[in-house]
Amino acid sequence: MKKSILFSLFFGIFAFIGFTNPVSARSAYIHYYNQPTDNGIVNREPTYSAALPHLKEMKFNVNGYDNAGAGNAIRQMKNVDGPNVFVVHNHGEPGRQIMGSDGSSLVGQNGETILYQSINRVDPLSFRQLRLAIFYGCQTGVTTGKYGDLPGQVVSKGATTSVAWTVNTYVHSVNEWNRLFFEKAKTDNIVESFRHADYWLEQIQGTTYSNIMKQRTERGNIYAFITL
Amino acid sequence: MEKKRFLMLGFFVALVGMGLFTVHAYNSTSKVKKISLFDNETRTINYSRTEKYGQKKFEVYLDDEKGEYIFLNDKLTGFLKNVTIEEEKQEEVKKLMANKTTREGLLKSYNEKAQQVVKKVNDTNSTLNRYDKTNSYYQEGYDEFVYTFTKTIDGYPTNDSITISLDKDGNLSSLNAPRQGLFDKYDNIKINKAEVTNFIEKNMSLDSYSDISNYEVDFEIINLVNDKLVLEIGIELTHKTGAISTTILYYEI
Repeated sequence: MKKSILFSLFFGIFAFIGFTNPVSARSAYIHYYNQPTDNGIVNREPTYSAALPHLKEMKFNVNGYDNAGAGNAIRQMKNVDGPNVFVVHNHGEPGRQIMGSDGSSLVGQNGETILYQSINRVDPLSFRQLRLAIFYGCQTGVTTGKYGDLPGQVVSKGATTSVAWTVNTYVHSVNEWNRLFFEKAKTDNIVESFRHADYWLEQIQGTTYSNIMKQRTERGNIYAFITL
Repeated sequence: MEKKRFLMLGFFVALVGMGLFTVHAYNSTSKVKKISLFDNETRTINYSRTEKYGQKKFEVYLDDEKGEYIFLNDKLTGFLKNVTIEEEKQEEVKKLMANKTTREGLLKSYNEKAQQVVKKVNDTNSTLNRYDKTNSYYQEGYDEFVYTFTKTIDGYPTNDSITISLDKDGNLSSLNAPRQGLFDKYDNIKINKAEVTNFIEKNMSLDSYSDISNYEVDFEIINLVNDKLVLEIGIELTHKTGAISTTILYYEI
């Protein structure tokens, strides 16, 4: 009798922890575009699949999207139960992250058409659940163009940290760097994970590609952990 | 009788298992190296793990402070100091480095130290062995002074570089030298620049890239790809929509 009471008590405590622990509510949104071209497919899918096991180890529910539009992304980012980690890998332009093959995009400001989602027009604190947004694309982190400071705008709307690139990026390097980043982010903070990814990419692919991936615009708190 | 047999069999299996575990444990702990990468200091490092990338197997050893030492085919190719990067600590460094004169002064003053590390790693101890300094800069974010030394062939950089990074006090923070000597046997080759230009123009013709309005060469490096010596050419593509993307061409040398 005493044993069954004790058992019920322990079971109750574990169940309570299980239901209330925020760990189980983590989610990640990874968007890539496996682009058909005149010269074959540009394979960005590993940005999702190679990061997946590491994110799962961190108890993230991971949603991968191939060629979804910017509208879908912004709806999820604004949702209070939306992703804590947001990653996009596609073409870019200064201050602009292109999402789908329709040209729909996230921009810091001055989006010209309905296909452009201007982050500066989003309500304050809309992205407060977002711990990290990563924009892999050519020159997405250039902040002086007409589309403004994309990672800066994302942080200004409540995200903890955001990062984008100031130079042209290369698909195979992004795929590898991204995997290395999430491998380290299981135990270390964001900037320590940047350092790990920069370092190991140089071992694997060489200095040229590592130097490219080091050219970042980092906004917000780079000392944060993505798992908190 | 049957029960006794099972017991004996179980005992035997356990014995073999213990034996295998002991051998494995011995092998793991027996992989120890001594390394003298630092001034007046020899460190003992222990095998930790093997990282496999394609055909390459990097063996990673750790020192007492969890610094990583990377070996490829038993040759040291890298070191990454284990550092904790905390906001409070970095604020002080940021203030110090905000002063351009201080920052550039330190970058210049550590140059000689970086060269010493290259000489040490390169087993020459006296010369840079044709590694020319190609780049040095201050890496914000994790506050390191970075120095890159690259071997060139016929004016083109190769993928054989040694990168050294030092912290604000001039201590070695990382070393990256995974391709030492890889291109030395191709030292005397000549690259026909006109042929390279033709190759790029032919490959970037509008027949192949119908949605591109312009392209530019982003970088060129000599590399080994699938055991073939190539000029690896990074190309920036500007699409008719204004979007920018990249592609890579391989010119076989």
